[in-house]
Amino acid sequence: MGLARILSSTLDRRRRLEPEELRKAVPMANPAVKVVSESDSGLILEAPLQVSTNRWIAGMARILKQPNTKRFELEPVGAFVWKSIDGSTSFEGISRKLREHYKMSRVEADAALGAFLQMLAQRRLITLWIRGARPSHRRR
Amino acid sequence: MSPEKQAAFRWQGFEVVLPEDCAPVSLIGDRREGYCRFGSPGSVGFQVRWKETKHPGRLKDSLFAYFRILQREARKAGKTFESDLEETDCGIAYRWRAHAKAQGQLFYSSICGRVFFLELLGDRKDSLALYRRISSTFRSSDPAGPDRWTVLGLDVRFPAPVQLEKRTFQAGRTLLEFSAKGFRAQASRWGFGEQLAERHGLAEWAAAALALPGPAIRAEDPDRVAWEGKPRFGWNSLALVRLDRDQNRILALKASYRKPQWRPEWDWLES
Repeated sequence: MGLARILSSTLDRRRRLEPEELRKAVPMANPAVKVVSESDSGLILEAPLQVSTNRWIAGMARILKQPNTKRFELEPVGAFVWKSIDGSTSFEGISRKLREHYKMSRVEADAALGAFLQMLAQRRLITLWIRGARPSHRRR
Repeated sequence: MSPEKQAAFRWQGFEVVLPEDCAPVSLIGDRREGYCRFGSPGSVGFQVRWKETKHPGRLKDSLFAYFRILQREARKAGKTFESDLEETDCGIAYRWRAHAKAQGQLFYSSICGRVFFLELLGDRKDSLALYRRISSTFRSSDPAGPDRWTVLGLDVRFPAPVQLEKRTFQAGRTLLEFSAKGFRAQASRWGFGEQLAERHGLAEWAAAALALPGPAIRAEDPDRVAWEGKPRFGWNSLALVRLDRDQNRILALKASYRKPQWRPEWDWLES
């Protein structure tokens, strides 16, 4: 193991998800995110933007009429996944639905779903609830 | 590894049928020498190693060399290494148990002149009962005969052996690039085939995804599109695109060729 990797693993205490944990993890939608329109071509989500605590920046944002929400457009497959995120269906359950509905292989469904959920999580539209996970892991 | 659904894997002149949840995690080498490893959601994996040889008589030496490496690893892990081997009609069947455990076979294929190592590997607690079923599906093909490649939903065949130049595996897309004398081809498989065709139209989608210039694209039927380019410097170009509704995928083959025997046919994309 290289020095950079040792340092990185020491400083970054985020736990890497094991595949088995990921399968059992339950994606949960951010309650602040709303579906604003829905059609055959997908759906549009609206999420509130974080307001800066800095008075100057917040004032400038108001003067420049910066929007306080952001919209995300999901295409039909993304919309299908979003509708499957009900707070009780696990990653494995959603993957199974994808496989049945879109005739995908397990490997392909897992890979596509993993990448899509990661993208949603990066945009703070969802969070993954991992059963039995200890909350003591510090996030950077 | 779940044995419920199975999928064939054809690569570098051999084929094996594996549980559908197995995916290649390492693909190294060419037809002469190489290695494939398949991972599964659990800790069980399958590996194939092959090497072209003219002197297949020393299978046992190769196996003992492998065991010596495993013994060293077991010593480092503080485990004892146990092995068991049996000479069979076609090679050597073996098992070993140390920090992990495995069941495998080492044999020479006179069809293609290569020595193959097949091994199902898992943690000490894992069952390796699937090994017999997997190894019974293993076949190697005649190096002068037709060549078929099947991986992650892509299935393409050629009338003669081709060389793999490049591979790209992405979620929803598998792309292999091949070459032979006077022949170059890109074979690709796209997921969500019906959704793509419905949204964009198969011909329009194919023109954009495969960068097919000009109006030379023609729909042979609702699920098949062909494109033929103008010959340039003795090279002809042809693309075939097929929507497979049963598996919700699009299979595409875009080829440049000099001789007519390399002109792609629809049955090259039939599963």
